[in-house]
Amino acid sequence: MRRAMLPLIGVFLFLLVWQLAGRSLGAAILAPPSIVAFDYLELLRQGDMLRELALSLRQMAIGYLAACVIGMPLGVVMGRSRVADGVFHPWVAMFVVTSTAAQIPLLILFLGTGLWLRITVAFLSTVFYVVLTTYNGARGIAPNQLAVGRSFGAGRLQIFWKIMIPAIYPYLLTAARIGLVHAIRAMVTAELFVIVGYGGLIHQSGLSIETGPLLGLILTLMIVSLLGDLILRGVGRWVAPWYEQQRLVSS
Amino acid sequence: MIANPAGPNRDAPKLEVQGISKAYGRDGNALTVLDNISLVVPELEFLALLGPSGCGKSTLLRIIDGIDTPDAGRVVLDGKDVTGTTGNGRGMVFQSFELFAWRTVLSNVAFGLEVAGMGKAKRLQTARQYIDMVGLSAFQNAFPHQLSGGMQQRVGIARALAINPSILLMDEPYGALDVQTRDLLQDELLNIWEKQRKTVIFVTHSIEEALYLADRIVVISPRPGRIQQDIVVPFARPRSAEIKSDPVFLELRREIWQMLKRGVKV
Repeated sequence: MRRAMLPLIGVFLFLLVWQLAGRSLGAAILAPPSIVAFDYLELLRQGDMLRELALSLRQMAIGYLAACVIGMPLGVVMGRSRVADGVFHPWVAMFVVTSTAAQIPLLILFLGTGLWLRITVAFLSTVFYVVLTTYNGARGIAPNQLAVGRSFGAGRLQIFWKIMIPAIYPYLLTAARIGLVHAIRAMVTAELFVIVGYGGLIHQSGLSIETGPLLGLILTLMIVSLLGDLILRGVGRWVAPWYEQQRLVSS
Repeated sequence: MIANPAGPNRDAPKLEVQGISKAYGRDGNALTVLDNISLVVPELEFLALLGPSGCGKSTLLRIIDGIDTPDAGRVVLDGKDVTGTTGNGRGMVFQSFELFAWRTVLSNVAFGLEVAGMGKAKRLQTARQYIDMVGLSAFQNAFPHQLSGGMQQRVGIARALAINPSILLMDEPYGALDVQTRDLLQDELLNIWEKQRKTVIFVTHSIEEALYLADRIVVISPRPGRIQQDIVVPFARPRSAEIKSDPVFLELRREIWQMLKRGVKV
């Protein structure tokens, strides 16, 4: 009971500090929550925010799903095959440490500023995290679990689907969650470059003398990211009830 | 004393291990784990492979199961060379249970039947029989982490028995359990075995366990693993815990301990 109160107290303190800082700095630098709340209702009423958000998220989702569909199997193959690891690991290691924002100017030359740019940026900034997380999971599969499969005469495909994939399930879930956060971040970065979509909206709000709407847009982004993560966790719990329980028991 | 009407049929070799050798590591500093091991296991015999840790007895069992391959030698099951292949009626129980965390007890026990392609209704029905046999009917929908170690190993045994193997391989199945649980599971295993006799190869480092369970004990010496002694256990079946205080039992235990002691370096 008292535990559940702590986050609420944290949020309240944060709002309090923000309110005090906003009052002393003025709305042109940092709008206090009381003003942001008012501006936020206005943003909702105008409808631009949610419409642009939905369009941007749709493009992000394409890049993100492609990153999962390609990255997860690639990670498993790299984790279980020395040849695949040798060939792909240098590439993954190079790209995962490179800021996607730094690659955007080059990508604009290749792809222009349209749909494909945003999908590609979301994909590139997500796929390597998905690969590496899955890779680590696949490498860590206990050899004896695979031996059980062989002992009972399971074929290679059966071992893959019935043992490897469920064994790395926690890693797949983590990969999906980390990936989603990266994809949403990349979406905004790409849109700030070419001033379209939700990122474009943020850019324009930044030019205005009022910070209320800008903070409102950032707030929405936070809510969307947290909500997405929450949904993925819920899906994870639904798909694998044993995993969450097992963690509770062993902790 | 050796009278044992339904005992092993010594004229019918179920399994033959012929000249098995295995080394780990590279040439130059290779560690020889098994050195030219040969043994014959008659149909329906309960054989214990006994030795200190590191003597290669588990490796030998894994080679017999086919999940490891030997550097030299053959494994012949029912007259057929099965070296390096699994299946063909071999069921394995692993030391640290190796249940699948994401499957319920029922689904774990049905695993072997599932990969063999048996239909869902039939394999679940079969799995339930074996879960019943090990006394876990109330837990068939539980996940492994909800069970004690002893219960988990019961599931491991049910999983191996569910494929109705003609030879059951047990790799220190009670090594990870406390003494009380171990004693209970030994009696349970003997009960099951009396009801459904099979050829069993049971790997253990416990002299008492080997004497209590087995018809014959093959003692393996460590580094490199070689067969040191082959002992026929003279107790009639069915056995009960009383034989553990029988003078013959105690004398055999002492003799085997003297033998093992020479090979053990602490």
